[in-house]
Amino acid sequence: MRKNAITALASVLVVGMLAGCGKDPDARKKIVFIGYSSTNTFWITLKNSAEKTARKAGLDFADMTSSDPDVVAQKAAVDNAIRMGVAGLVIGPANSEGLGKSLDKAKAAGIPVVTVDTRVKHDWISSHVATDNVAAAELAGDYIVEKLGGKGKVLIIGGTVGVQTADDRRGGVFNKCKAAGITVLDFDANWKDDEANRIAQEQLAAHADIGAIFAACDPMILGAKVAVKRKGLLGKVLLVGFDAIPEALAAVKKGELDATVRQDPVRMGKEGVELMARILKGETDIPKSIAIKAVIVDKSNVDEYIK
Amino acid sequence: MIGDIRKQVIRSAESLAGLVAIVLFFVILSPSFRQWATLTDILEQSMELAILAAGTTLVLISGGLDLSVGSVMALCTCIAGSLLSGCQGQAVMSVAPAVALTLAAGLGIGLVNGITIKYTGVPAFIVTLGMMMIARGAALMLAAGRNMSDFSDAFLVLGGSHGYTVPLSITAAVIVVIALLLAMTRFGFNVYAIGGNEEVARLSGVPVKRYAIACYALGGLCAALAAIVQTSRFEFAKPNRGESWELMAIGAVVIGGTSLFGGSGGVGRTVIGVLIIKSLQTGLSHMGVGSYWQRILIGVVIILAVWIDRIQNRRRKT
Amino acid sequence: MHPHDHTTKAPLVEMKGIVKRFPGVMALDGVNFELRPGEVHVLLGENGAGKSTLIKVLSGAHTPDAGEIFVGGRKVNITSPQVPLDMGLRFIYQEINLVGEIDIARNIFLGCEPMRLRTLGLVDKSALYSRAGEHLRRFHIDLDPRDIVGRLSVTQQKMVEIARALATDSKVLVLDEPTDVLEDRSRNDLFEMIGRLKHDHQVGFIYISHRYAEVYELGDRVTILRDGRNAGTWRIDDLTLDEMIERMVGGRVSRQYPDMQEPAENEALRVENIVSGKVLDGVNLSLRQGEIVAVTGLMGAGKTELGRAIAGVDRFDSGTVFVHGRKVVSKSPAAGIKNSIAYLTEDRKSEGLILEHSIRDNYALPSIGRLSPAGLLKHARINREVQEYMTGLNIKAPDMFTPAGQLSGGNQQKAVLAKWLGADCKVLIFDEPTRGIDINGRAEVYRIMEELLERGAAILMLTSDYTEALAMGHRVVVLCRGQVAGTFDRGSADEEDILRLAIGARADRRREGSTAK
Repeated sequence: MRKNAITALASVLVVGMLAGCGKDPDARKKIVFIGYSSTNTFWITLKNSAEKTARKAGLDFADMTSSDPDVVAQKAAVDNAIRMGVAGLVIGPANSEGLGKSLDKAKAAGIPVVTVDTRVKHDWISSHVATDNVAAAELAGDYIVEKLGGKGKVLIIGGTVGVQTADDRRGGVFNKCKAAGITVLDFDANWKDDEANRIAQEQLAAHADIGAIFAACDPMILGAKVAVKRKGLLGKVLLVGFDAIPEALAAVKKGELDATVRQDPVRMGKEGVELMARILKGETDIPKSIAIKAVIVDKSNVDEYIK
Repeated sequence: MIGDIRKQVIRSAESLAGLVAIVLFFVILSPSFRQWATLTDILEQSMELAILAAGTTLVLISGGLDLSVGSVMALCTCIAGSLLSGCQGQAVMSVAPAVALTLAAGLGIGLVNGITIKYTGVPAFIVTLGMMMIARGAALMLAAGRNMSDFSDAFLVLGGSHGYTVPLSITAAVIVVIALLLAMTRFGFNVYAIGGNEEVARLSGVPVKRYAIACYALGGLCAALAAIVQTSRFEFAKPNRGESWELMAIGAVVIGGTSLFGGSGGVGRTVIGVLIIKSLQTGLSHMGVGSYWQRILIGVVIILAVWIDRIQNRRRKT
Repeated sequence: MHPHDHTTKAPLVEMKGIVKRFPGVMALDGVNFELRPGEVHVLLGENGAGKSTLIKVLSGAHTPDAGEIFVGGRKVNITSPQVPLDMGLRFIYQEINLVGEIDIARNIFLGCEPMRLRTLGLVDKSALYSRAGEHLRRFHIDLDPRDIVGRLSVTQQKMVEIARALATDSKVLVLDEPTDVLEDRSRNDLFEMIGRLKHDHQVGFIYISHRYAEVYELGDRVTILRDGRNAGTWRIDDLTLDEMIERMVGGRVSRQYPDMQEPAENEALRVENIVSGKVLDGVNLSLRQGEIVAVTGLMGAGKTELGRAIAGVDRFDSGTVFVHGRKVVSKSPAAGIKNSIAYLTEDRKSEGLILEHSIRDNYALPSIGRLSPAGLLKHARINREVQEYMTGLNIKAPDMFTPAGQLSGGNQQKAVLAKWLGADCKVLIFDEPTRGIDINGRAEVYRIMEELLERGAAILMLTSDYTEALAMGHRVVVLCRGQVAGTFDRGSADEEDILRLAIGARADRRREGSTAK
């Protein structure tokens, strides 16, 4: 929690100081981790798992994640890492497009890069570990279609347009619904719960026949839940989120949320670093990507995942 | 500005006419908008912004500007959230002291803003811009990895868990108190004076620094209160709340008819401004228009509102 | 310096029958002026005589209501400040008009920089600095063209301004009190420059100054303005200083001033040895209840600073203030008001009234403590008081909710008076109370002042109008450069005596015959 924030701050300070110092002779065994956000529960879990795996593999681990998902900060971090002369980069890009030039520099310096969770548009990336967001969303889509039994509209509340993760999650559910002939109401709330609350409230008022609401992240579905609850429709409208944050799991257990999609941040962190360790050892038969399966968590299996 | 009831009523009537026009527009064009439930929806969506904008009105009338209130809302959300969240079944403290502490935090940040602005000469724009980032950073730090939910029933009542009378009363109370303050007290009179011409006020014996700082403090208090209502309503706290709300609040104030430069205006008009924004958003949603277009249209409305106001002012002067 | 005979050459500038009215005041009433090539033509007159207005008409800042202007023999229509600039007229005012953030060369060539490639807009930097350097050398200004203007002393900035004005081959240079900020050495440089330009380039100068020594040293001819009209034009050599002064103030129409009661015996205000920065250098003053003391002097003598210091608006370095025998310390205007001292500002528009607020709201401001017991406003009481004052002072407005900005100058002043009357202060400091107000308005203000005295107030009237000071003051105090140069009782002096003290000349003069009023 606060410790992580201070670690992040300290790491940035240290890097800043080292930036003027040229190559660090011990850097050969160091990998740098640049996550999506240092305050996001999912990413904290992922990072912790990555760090543990790194230590087990005998690698030095440095975390240069910023507190906000910010491409500019990530680019700076990549540049710093290159200058430090690290052996490898594990990145969870904030944006599919923005890291371009910095990653090219990494390639030129011969530093292998493994991406986690969000893809970037570079073919030469050593490997990509992600929840297959599309497949995961399709799981959600199937769940919704099945539970609706063909009746009612579906309200999709998306994340920020242009972010691969958002597009994938929305796309998965959208396609499944369309295939089943269900009408979809399509809105974006930029990952914000108050926006989602407003959209849900307005759409529920505008359309009397909404049978389910899917939101691309849990805070948004919880915001929508408030609107549903206030309109007295709890239980009558299916609510499905994504990410399985603790608040969402608690809500599922309480019966206020129908389901959420659980990614496996532990496995993602572990797999990402294990791949990097293998690359650094010189192995060449590295899979181009590893898709981590997601799981639908609803009342039937929520107890497994609640800590 | 005060005491002239006629002029006040006319000005408010103009904004009210705008609101009615917008509502009628949507009532005609969108069948789903026509239900009574829509009106309550709009009210529910307006509460927090109204509280925030009431504080902003005060600051603007005094000739100040506070860009940090959205981030202060986020910070207060996290403060309240961490004090009240039920980790391991027990909150850190009970509702009343937690709420008091949160309000004190908002008030305190407002004081810091005001004192910095008035005693260093750094423009309000810059100081509150800096505070905006400081508060946001603090909110994120406070929230990192923390579970801020699972609040007690007593707290949830504030957000409307047992019906909307509670939050609506809180909102109404804030509006009424600030309105009375402005219209009926020495404090309000002097606030208008400072906003009208700070030097004249100073020369006439008004302790301008003290009053200006007090307005910033009250603005911060409103931000905290808005955060409490919102956190209670959503039943959990997140540090990314309130983003751009300072600008929405200013937009509501301006649409309502209060001048950005101070010295005139009122809370009643701000409330109308809030309702206009929220009605627009709701109406457009009912018509299937997405949030990106909504933003564009609200921006257009803000510019139009100020433009129309200027034209009217020019006509009045001749 | 003796001028050559220029009667055969066409005048550089000719202004005929210029009329300029402001609300309530006739600033210029058919003024004529003519500038010949190669002459220094001095423009003289008291404050308010119309000198600045005439110059502003020439510079395009004001549009005249009537009259014609000829430049180089051709009639011109000055519609904007760009017009005279294009015709080669340059104006140098008392305030510095340079851009402090950039260097000397750029200031000199602002807007007309030497270009390398016109279309691309690239400045030819080497030409910029070398030409600027040339100019500075030509005028014997010992500065580097790359120096940043903001870092120069005021004197140096003034020299740069003059260099800039002369850099572009101007034919006419208008200088408004240019030597106020110059040290002796630079003044001599300036005069030398002027002399050379006069002789070698036939440049014409319009020179406004109160420094009569300079006027004699530099000037060829002099035009004296009085109350917006020409008092005459003479060759400098043909006038003595006494005659000059006489023509500036003499032959005045007497105005209506009320009869004044004798003041009471007790002292309402005493001020001892006020020192404030460089402006006030040990001022002593006393004021009795029921008395008006008029404080007068040139602009910059320290009148306003004195008023503001006494009232607590500005801090001062040392000295003591006593109100009705009690020592008071006023660290802020609020404290001043509590100490029963009211200060009515010089600029009523920006410092006296909140223009967007109503008469009523303006009235209530200094008295708000009294009008809101326990912090709650007593609206009915406020309205009643405002109504009484509006009737009593005859403030003409649609109603009390009219914004103060819509009132005429005279009514605005009355609104300011009403406000301070409501504050019920025993000592009132009026700073230029009738500036910009016509005769009728002035009479009303004087009447109100008389009423105030009857109520037991004491008035300190700061004014640059000597006639007003003599007529309204039980006593007249003349300030010169931050010190009291002299005091006169009512009836024992005239405008010339005041002017003499104000400019720091000899206090006495030969009285030949009567200087009739």
